[in-house]
Amino acid sequence: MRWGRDRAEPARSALLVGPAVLLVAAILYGPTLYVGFQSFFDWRPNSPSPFVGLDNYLTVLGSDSFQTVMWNQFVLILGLPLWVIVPLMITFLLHKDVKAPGLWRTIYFVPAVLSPALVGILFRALLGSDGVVNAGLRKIGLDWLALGWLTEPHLVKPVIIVLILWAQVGVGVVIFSAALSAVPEELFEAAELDGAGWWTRLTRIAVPSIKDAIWLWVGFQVIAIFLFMFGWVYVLTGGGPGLASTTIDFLVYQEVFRFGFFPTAAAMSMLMVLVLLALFGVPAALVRRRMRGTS
Amino acid sequence: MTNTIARGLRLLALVASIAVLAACGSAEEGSNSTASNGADDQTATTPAGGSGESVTLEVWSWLPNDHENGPDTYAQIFDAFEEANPGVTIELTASPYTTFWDSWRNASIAQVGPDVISMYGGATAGGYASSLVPLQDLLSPETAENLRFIDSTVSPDGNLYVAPAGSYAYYLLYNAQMLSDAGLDPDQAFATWDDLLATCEALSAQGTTPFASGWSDGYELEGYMYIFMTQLLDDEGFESFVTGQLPLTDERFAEGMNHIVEMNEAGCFSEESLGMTMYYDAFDEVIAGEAVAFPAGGGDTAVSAEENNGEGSMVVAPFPMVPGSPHERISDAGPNQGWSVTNWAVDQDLAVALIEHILSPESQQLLWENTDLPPNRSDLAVESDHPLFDDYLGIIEHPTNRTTFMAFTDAALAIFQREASNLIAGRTSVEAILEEADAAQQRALSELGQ
Repeated sequence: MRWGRDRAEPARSALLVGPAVLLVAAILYGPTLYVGFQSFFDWRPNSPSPFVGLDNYLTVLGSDSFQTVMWNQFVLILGLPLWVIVPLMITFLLHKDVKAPGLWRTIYFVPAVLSPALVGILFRALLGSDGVVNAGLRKIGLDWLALGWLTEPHLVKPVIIVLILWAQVGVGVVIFSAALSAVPEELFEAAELDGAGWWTRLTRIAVPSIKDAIWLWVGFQVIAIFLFMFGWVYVLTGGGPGLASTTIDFLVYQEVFRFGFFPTAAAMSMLMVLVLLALFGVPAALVRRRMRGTS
Repeated sequence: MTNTIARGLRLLALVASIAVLAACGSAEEGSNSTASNGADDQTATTPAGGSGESVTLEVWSWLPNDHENGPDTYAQIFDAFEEANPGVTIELTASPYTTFWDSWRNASIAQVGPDVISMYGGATAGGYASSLVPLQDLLSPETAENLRFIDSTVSPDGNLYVAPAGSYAYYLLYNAQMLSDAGLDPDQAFATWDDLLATCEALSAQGTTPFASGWSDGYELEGYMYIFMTQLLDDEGFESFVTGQLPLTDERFAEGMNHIVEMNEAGCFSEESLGMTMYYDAFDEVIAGEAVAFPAGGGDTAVSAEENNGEGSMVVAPFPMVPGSPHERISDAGPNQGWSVTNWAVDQDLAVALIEHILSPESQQLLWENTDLPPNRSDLAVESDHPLFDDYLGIIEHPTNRTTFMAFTDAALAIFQREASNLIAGRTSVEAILEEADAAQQRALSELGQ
């Protein structure tokens, strides 16, 4: 009887997991592998596409556009401390010191449920050269501060960093709040009795206690910077001025839909996958190896 | 109990497998039936109605959204075709302009989608050569003889993928009243290129915006390039350009783009224009009387501007000729757009018949009356009851006109659009833009086999 149950177990498991695996393979891995395969060809849909080896990758890596966009990605990632620290501090403030924390969390969360297209249109109206912000600044005599927020290359990326913070802070607060609620309250009370101040409780108790959630949030943000900026950029700046606010996902879109250059778009997509794997896969493997070594 | 669960799961798996196989079978049948609507059914679905079997032609276009009367007018045109061809149904998908091109790119990759589409000729259509049917041998002699701007519409590979419809010309729209108010002579202000630059300097010194402009969407740069390149290229250069032989690094392209820089240095454009769009900020600016002049491409703009600024306030004139032009007078003018048949069309003969119907004098007359789109037929002369529109029609009709618009590949235009604001802000050079645009142009042309 027991032998029979053990024999059925793998089949049952396969049956239960199989559909999900097939679905993921069909939707995610299949197209990725296909694009990866095509990236080694002079890919012309519906026409002969000769094998070109690494030519597409060399073209992309040597192009000024790609280098500029990778620099943009790097600059945007510099916003990471801001995107982590601000929601963390808000979470800690809402943890104890504020009345109706749920209401505040909801208020912070609202921007996260707005579509990027809507947010883009809203902020384009606010930050355009003749937008509400500049009009207001001129009205109160601060003409010198009425800048081309979305049209000056040196301003547009910082503006986007702040907008991402505005849009995402609520999600961070919710994730951190959920993690913090699992930390025993006694820890904070004991620390307070021992004379630990607000900053000490945040940095010595809260942060170490929810570090997994913080790493999760960091991961989400990095992935979002590489993969989910399209809606914002498309509506807010169109990638401009020039390439100043173009992100890699927007560049791939442009390469296919504006230029019709499929082979380099495929190479760019694969490079994007490789960068993300390097950012997450390598550190994860190192951590696993260290943990194995420790155990 | 465990055995019962295992048996149940096995049964479920069997049922699921059968369902998947059945679904595959139906999908296959479905695709077969779609295919059978294609070539096999051609005899049954002739324009005359054939055996009466029903056929649906899917049409994709951005044009109906271009005018408030567009949807009704195209509905009338398609109704007339359906009436003349019993059993034929036209399904129109009228998309916004940008959505149209994204959807079309997807359709052309998948080789699935509309039977008939709106399309630009020349290099744009050439970029979709694997998805479009060459029409040069399919259009009736009557249609082919009467369509204008065929030469500009032929793609670099020598095929005519687009039957050109409607017509336009770039012209200079200016506010004579604002010029008089500024103490300038409206008849002389834009008579020559030097006059234009002097007018810009005088107006900007007074704090008046000379040219309505918006550079952030980048379309304005390409618009000026069409105007100037049509003026600067001689017959040989034009022929060389439309056949994909003339690189954008040719000095005449730099000359053309330098004229835009020259206008900028003369103060023709406002500082705010860097953050504004051509669509629709610049249009709004000239219509609202907040700028003196605008390089317009449709008669509607002139009429709207005059309605807003008072009778007799606006003037429609050819754009002044730039120095070095081998022509005495020429305007960038050509077909407004055109119609193409996809090579997966359910019935190509029927699709061509539909295009012929859209291009017919009756349909073009209807479009002119309802949507102000001037026809593109030499056998159909139209008149407007508005003097400004009549002036515009006069500019379109000038015999020397032609367009360089369709010789630029989409890839090169994308570079122009991207770098427009950088050029005006002085953050990049004419040479750098043209070098990058030429690389994109050559790569796009090489994919056409040039």
